[in-house]
Amino acid sequence: MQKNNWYILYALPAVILVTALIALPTIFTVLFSFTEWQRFNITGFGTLRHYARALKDLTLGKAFVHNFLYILFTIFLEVGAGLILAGLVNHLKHSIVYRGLFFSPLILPSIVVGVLWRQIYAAEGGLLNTIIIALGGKAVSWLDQPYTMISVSIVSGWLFAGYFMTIFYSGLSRISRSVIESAIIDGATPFQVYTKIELPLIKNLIMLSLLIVTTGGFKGFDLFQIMLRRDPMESGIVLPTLLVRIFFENQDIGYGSAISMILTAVVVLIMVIISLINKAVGEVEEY
Amino acid sequence: MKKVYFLTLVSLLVFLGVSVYGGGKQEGKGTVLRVASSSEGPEHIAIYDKMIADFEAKHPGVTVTWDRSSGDDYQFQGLPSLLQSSTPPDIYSEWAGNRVKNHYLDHEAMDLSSLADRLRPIIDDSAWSGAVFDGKTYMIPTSQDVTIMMWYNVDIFNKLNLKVPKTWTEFLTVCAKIKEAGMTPILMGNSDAWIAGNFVGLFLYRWAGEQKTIDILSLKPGTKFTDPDFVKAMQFAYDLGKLGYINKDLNTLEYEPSFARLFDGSAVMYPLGTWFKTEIIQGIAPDPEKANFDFFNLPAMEGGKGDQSSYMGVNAGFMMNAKTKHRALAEEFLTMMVAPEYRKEFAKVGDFPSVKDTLDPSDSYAMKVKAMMNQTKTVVAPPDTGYNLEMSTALYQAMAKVLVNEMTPEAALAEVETKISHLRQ
Amino acid sequence: MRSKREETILPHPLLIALLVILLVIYLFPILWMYISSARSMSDFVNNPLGLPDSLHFENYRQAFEMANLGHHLLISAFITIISVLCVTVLSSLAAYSFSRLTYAGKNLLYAFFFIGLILPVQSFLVGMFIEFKVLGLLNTLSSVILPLTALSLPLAILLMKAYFDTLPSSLEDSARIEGASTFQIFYYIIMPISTAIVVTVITFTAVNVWNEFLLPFVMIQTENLKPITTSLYVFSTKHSAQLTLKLAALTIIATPMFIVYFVFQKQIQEGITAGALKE
Repeated sequence: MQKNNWYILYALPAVILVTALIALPTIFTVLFSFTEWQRFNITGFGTLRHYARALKDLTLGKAFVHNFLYILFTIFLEVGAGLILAGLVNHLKHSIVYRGLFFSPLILPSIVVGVLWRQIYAAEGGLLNTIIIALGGKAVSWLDQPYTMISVSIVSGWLFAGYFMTIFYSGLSRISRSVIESAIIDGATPFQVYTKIELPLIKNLIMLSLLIVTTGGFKGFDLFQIMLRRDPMESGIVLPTLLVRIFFENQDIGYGSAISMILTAVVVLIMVIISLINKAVGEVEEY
Repeated sequence: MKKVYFLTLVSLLVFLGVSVYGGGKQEGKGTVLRVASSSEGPEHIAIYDKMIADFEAKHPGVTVTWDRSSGDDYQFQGLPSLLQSSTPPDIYSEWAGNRVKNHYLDHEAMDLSSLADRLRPIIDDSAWSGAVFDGKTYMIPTSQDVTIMMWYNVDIFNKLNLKVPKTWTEFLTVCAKIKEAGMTPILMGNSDAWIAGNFVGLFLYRWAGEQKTIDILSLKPGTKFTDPDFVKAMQFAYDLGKLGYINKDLNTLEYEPSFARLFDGSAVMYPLGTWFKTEIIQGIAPDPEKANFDFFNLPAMEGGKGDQSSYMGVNAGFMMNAKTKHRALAEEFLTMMVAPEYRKEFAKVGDFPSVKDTLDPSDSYAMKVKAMMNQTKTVVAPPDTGYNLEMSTALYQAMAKVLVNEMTPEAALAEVETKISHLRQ
Repeated sequence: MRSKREETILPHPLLIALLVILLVIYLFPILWMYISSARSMSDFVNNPLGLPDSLHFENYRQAFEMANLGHHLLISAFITIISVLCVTVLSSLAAYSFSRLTYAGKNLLYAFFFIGLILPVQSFLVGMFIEFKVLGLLNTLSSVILPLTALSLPLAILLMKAYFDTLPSSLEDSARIEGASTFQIFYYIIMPISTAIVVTVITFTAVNVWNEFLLPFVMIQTENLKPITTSLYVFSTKHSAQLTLKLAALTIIATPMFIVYFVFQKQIQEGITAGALKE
């Protein structure tokens, strides 16, 4: 294949689109974070005021805490659950049916999931409280302090456990049968087979999943917005919803941009850290 | 090679087509006059529809579109976005005070002073408050409203032999008696934070005085939220919570579901505005005929520096977009909006129009409200409509926490101060 | 590349029981949604956990009308179709060039798309909003179609390139000897044998675009132009008392999605997880 620089035209439309709609806006956001605004008009440039304010912002700190809680919970509820499900489903007949069913909630638009679970969690007449009361307990407002983060995380887990299960399954299903069979012949229990043989072989998938769940933990917006709405008590405020509130309610473009940048920096930082950890842990046999 | 160009062109054309389609989807035939507001009840919409029909009949070739899609998000997100779009409204509804001022500062508001002068004879003087800045009028008021009155269950009051309290001490006694009888004295569904915000907001004006409250809420330099008068005013709220006179789950209880407890008799009083009579009793009560509710203004706080007959109210109206291309049409539409013949219809469905002599004298409820409005010169603005939204959000959070005794007034107000410190620069 | 072993080699009955229990609990919310949406409101209020006494199909009709579902479904469909078309065309062209062609700047551009994959939406949301405001695109369908297309491109390109990489170059060599132009090779040889991957790309792009909430939430405020996701949001905030109605609207939206899913399950799963795996 000889080199022909005109071939760049094949890729150019896609490049132009991504540049105009992703690269440029990102640059703008960076610039805006250093700009002074009066509503939608620029009044000055070259200020660090927004970042200084971010350092002192209590609500921002609260949002960060919530994000970390969310990540912590979802590591178990999404990745952990995915591992368990993959392990359970891996050696079964008709696993495709089970896998299909566990994955299915993810197909739903977030609005359906959010409204449905909001009704499940509702303080008055919600499904969960109805069940609890029928069992003799007391109703709880699941979407408020102190349950907010765990409640949303459970919904997230409901959505994504199947996703991670699929990822892990693709790794587990490639492990050669002979390895497992010889282990069983040697007397290993299923649990031991799982933990000592299968899990280590999908270590890089696990690392990858941790990467996805931590960066995703900072990006999650839909569930929070739909289930908590305006959330004036800030019981479930997270960075993305805080950003939307600052930008749209308070029309604070400078500060909103600064928060966007902080969010981006955190996500990139996490990716770098986890990638480094991954490399340090060592290569695992390629498939 | 040619094919690549061709495909690129096709892709570009598709995008162009999409933009044109997306933009084009808005245009109707001929001239379009756009109006925007938050959501309204069906009776209101019916009257507005009639107005639109009459207007379109008078102006063939003109279509009036009314966007109510933002619903509750109108004040936070809906209107700002609509104004920024390429098809902004020519006329939009607003609340008097800070919000009007912001539109004026953002060059979104047309100076309506000359129109206002023409309309002055038919509109109550008090309705213009909050519509005027720097000597110019930016909003045509269409209605005045009381946002906080103490609604109470008359039957239960009679059963417990309670009289309408005129002072705070009497009020606390009434609450105590209700609590003793096993019911919740004051009920609020405060999950959106504004009910308690308006309620306790009135405490601020009554106790600390109108001017001081306005100064502090306007973030006037030299003022602090931790002002001792504010702390003491919030203490009243704290005590209500401590004495058990308020439903403990007020911050997690949603607005609409909350009224169930009022109508089943487990709670007795609810601080809400004039729309209680229309929207709540008609719309939500299981048996509107049996719902026997009346109201009284917040009782006088002994020792308070403010006018103890004041009420918390909001003037609402419509503004014109400074960038409108249809000024004359819009002016005509605005004039139509305050025409007495339409506003009388609004009065029939529970509104309190800004227009003189539109209330039905045989409507005892409307007359009673009007009497309450007329017996004071002091109308105070709710924190979220009259002032900076970020500030009021922080203040409402503080009030919510104080009412459930989660924070002391001092701590809560100090937190407000921290949160809004960046607004003071 | 899954092995075909379907037999159980570790069939612990307890584990299977656990799995079934998990499955039931897992699917319970969806079942509840379906069952409750066909009940009358008064029934539901008395016993949220009950079964319908009779099937109240009018709930669905009511929900359809009140939420104006027909209109908003059309909007969603329009957005999805346009986006999917553009993504498919542009990504296959670009991926082909990355995989089979050589030119200056190729690797740089490919890396460029990788970065696009990593960046969270929030990084450029503010900038994009202002950009659209200046261009007068706010509150138009373009404000949603354009970003969604751009956002779907990196993953689509990734997947298609990976697929193209697996194709032997011998395919093209014989065609070139016959004098075919590069584009002819692309269009008449490579694409026809790529239907599987194209279907995958189309499917998961369509699902992602259809389900998108944040972008229309931020960019589109006029009711008429809202896709089904954001218009349902407004609907759900307005009628808090009529739960069966809301659930009915949800089932109307959910059912086609489930049908699409069960037909295209393989492609959807592949698409959604492939992005992760390829990283």
